[in-house]
Amino acid sequence: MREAAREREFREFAEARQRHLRRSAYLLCGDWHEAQDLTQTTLMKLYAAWGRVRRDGNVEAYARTILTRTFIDQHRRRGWREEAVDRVPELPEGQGPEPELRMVMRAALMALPPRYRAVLVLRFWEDWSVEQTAQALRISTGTVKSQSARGLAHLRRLIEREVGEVRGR
Amino acid sequence: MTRIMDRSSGDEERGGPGEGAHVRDVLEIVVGSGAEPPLGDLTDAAVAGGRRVRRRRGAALLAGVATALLVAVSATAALRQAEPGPVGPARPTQSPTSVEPTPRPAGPVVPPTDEVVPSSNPQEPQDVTNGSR
Repeated sequence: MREAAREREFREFAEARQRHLRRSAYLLCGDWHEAQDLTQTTLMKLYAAWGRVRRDGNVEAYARTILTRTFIDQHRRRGWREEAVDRVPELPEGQGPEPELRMVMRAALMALPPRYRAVLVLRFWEDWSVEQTAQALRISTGTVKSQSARGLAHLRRLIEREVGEVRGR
Repeated sequence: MTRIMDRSSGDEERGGPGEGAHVRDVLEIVVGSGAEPPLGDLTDAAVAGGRRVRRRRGAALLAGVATALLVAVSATAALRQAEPGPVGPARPTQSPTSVEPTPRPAGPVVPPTDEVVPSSNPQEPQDVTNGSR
């Protein structure tokens, strides 16, 4: 009975929030299939800890934290080095102006180191405070501020360059 | 297009006003509609996976408790076995202060002699120094 209630509560939350979670995951990893896996892993971990999470409150923030930490852990395990690239990948041919713009932005975002990306997504997509972001990523508030500033500067540079190139074509 | 990341000052790096809106515009464009594939059945898989994780955690906890119990029981048994061991140091059963002096015989101590004393059996002489044959 208790187990059934627990599952029903979780299902309600998951059905309501999984779309937004997957979009956040996509902003982090840049691939819809990977985003789907990341969201499923997040929901699985969330269900495993559902009783405690419900007692503590703020399930939403907990889910975002799991998602971001899982993403960073996966990249760390793959031996991904946090080095920003100077150029974004070439855009695919035959895209209209709107998809092209999206591809430029996406490529620029993916060119950032994962940690910078995570900071930008939590701060500006989830609207989290510096303190909340620092807690979720287990870093200091100073690091959040510096990574946010560097991430923004790098993103701007990449987008300006790509936009210039697109206009010049 | 450039409006998205345009800025008139260095506000964005310093967390000034409007920084969130511009970055959010970029992120909105990245996840923009059209490219998003349909959402599969995530909930069922998540519930099944979550149950598996909980079962494994439960089994691991049980195994840990069982191991701890086994170690405790083995250690207790080993200690009990070692206690009356033959190589252990002899312990005084009583403290020296509680030792009562044994009463000495009131009679005179007979020094051992080589002389033969008559035994109860007059046929068989007995050597006092040997005690018995």
